[in-house]
Amino acid sequence: MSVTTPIVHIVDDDASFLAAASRLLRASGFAVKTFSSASDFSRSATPMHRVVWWLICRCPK
Amino acid sequence: MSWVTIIWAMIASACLTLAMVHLVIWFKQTGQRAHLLFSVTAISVAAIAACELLVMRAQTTEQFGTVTRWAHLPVFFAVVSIVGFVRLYFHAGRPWLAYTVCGLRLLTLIINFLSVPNLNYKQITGLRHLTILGGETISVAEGVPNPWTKLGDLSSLFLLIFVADASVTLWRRGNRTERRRALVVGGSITFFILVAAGNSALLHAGLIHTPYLISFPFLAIVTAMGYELSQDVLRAAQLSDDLRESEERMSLAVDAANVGIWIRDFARNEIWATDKWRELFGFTLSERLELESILQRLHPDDREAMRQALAKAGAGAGRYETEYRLTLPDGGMRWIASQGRVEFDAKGRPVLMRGASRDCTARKQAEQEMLLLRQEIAHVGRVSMMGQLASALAHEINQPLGAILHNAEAAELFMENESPDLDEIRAILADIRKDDQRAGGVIDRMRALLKRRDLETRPLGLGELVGDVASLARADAAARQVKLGVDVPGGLPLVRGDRVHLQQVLLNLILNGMDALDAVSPQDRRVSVTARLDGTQSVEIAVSDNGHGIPADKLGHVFDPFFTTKPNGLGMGLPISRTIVEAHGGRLWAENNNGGGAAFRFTLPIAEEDATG
Repeated sequence: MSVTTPIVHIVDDDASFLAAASRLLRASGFAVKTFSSASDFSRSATPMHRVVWWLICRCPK
Repeated sequence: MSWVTIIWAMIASACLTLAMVHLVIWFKQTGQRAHLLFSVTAISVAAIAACELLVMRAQTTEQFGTVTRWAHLPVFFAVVSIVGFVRLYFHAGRPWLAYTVCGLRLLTLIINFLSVPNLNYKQITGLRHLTILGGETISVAEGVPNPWTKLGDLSSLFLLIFVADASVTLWRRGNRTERRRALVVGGSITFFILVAAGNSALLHAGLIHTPYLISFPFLAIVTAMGYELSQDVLRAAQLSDDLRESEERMSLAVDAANVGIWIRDFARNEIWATDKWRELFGFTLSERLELESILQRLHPDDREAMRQALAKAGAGAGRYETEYRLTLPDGGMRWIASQGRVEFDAKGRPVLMRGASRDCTARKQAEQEMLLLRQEIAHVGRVSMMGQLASALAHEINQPLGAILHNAEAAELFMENESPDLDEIRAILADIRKDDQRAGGVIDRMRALLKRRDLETRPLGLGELVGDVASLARADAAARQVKLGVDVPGGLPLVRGDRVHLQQVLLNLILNGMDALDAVSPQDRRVSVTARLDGTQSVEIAVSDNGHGIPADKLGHVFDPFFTTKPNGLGMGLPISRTIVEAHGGRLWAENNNGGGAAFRFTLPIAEEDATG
């Protein structure tokens, strides 16, 4: 396959929600990376093309 | 009728009248022995007067001698009763002098009856006739003086010394009344004994020729004694008037205050009570009162406490003050405020217990209603606070619910595999359980605060108390980008309080602190809760922020009801918090921090079993 498997990045400050969401996506066949804060995510040098954003507003840093 | 007969008969009758009056007083009040002794003196003086009259009328030397001899009997009684009167009435006088006087007088009396014709004469040689008082002829003796007469004079001398000594003692010791008594009674006894003894001594020595005039000075003595005693009678009458007036005032006050009085006589094992008291306790006017039947009227929960309070008062405490409920025969309930005092005898045994009981049902009901109202207001405050927290708490519950949902969906997908990864599924189930408990915890804490409930105080750990509140407020703090810091040292003692009400206070102070931070940039917003020991009896908890602080002119008003600086505030949070803290026996106050922002501090008493003092 020429298309690389998409990696889903999840950012959430709630650890158990993060674990559950990543579990569900993995069961659905996605590769998953989790981050507990936006700053962690921005430090991870993820390529920013082909990104789907799922945002929770007013999530503290 | 002759003048001599009239005068001496008048002396005798005056003395007898006084004696009768005071005999009656003594008879009615047997304790008043001074009155008895006075009567004996007065009767003796009457007898002396009668003897003097007979002597003056004597026709033969034998008659003269016999009557004079018998006259020593009333003299003996007069002297002994005067000595007794002085001892009793002055509470003074040396006993040995008293015994000497009486002993000498008794000896004189015995020798008198052994002598012929009497103590005063060895021999009466003849009667001399004198003319006195407008031509009346009376008899006086002529004869050989008896040396034993000196014994009677010695007795009179000791009587003088005894009375003078007792009078001086009384004068030195006494107040105004006692000094007058010393002067009037002591002075006149001394003076007139001197006159009487002088008269008879001169007479017996044959130096003067007068009839016996002993009854005159003795009458003066009796008059002085009677005057003093009548003062006592007058004083008693005055006291009884005062007492009646005082009783009137007392009963007016007791009626006005709606107080019932009861008196328990320990020796006779009797209880007396006013009509009002019987009405309060539901006893009829004629019913016999027993301590046990009274205690049975008390509410069973209050009975033992009252029994102990009474026992303690009777065992030496001397007083009690208590409040209890009565269960009335008609099934009603009544609150009684009661206090009493115990009177002890010299050996410290209880003699009388006097108690006053008052119906305080109305006050108790008002207190109860006030308490309910206060709890109602506190509840309203909590509900309104939970309203402020609602959206943050919804988020707090949504997080675990969302996690549970995703975990369940993931598990379903895993199960579709031919060989599902059971370890993964076990981990999912464990997470679901954990998240469920987490959501349940949030709901429990919320519900505890929303519930309408009574005040229940018990020992509480501050760490847990503050921790619970912090977890309720944390979601809101996160949403408002406020750092909520908690610093409660582990070694703090337990405090005594009601968990929910204290959580309410803390939550109120934390929310206020966060409200004050709107103007502060998000990365600097801080609210911190700290606790420390305050002396040996209490713990101080502080909630401080780094916001705008409280303007100096408003610092004194932040606890006023309806005072608020927030656009949609009600102004009830802080007054409710202060009421709660004060109901716990603590204080709540506000101050501005040195480095900016405000701090609200409150104290709570350390639970007794944990107090270090």
